[in-house]
Amino acid sequence: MTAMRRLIVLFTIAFFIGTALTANALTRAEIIRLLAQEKSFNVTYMTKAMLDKVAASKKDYPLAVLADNAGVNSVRVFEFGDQVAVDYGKALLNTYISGDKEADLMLLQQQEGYRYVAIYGLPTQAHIYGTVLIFSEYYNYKTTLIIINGSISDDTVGKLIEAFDK
Amino acid sequence: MSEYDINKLLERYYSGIITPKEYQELLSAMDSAQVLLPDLEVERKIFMAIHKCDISVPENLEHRLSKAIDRRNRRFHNTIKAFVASAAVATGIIFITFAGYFTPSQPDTGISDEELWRRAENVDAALRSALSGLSEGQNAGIECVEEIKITQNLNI
Repeated sequence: MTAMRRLIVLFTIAFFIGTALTANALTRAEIIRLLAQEKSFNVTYMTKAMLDKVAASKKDYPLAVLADNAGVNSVRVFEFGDQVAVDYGKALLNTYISGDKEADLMLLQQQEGYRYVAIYGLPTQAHIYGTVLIFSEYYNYKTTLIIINGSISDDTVGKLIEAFDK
Repeated sequence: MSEYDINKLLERYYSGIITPKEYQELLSAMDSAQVLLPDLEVERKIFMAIHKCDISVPENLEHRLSKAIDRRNRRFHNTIKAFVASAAVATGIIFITFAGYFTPSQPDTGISDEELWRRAENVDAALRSALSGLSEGQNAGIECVEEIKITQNLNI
């Protein structure tokens, strides 16, 4: 009986340690490293200079709202093509928004049929976000995470939605 | 002729307004005068010395003078033109050299234009896919919320 109890206690401790490790072990860099090995994963990166050049070439291009004085330093688009990549993508999103809940701000969330969209802002000061995350998922089709970095105002987020909401 | 008259004619002579007749009178007075005041004596020596000089006016002097003046004016105008042309050339060189500072330059992206537009299209497509129809959904959501509120108020 004592041996049985010891075994149960040991299993319980091992379970908790294992859960804790799997839940917290993966850092953002590690997730990205794992994602990079996934064939269905794709990332597109645009710097401020690239956004500015695109906007200068085509003034009416929707991306122009992220150029010039929009305060955007970079845009990264992560595309996850299969379930494994999607899981990593969700884990990556969680590394941004599961920290200090007070600091995270869900700007918008929408579930419509097979489509889910959530926009988060990580504010650096009132109405200014250091990072804006746009997570969208078409079930069994395509999942993307768009990470916009810089010093982005509420106004820019509004303009962005307005520019692409057509 | 009195010394007073001689002095008067001398003044007219030095002022250049003496007539040929007055000049002859002055000449004969200076020539014939025996005793003069010291000042007038000096004047007489000067006057007679000038008179004895054979000042011959070269032929076409006036024409040559006007030509020389024209030449000087032309040289002055040429100098002005050369200065303006040099200033224009210098301005042009400065503008060409520093044109980059005056015109907004395209930012260096470090990638080819083809790659830039491929990325732009990709980001554009992702944003369009994520954000299209959001306000429609939002409005639908708002309408839905309002409907619920109205229903609750009416206790239906």
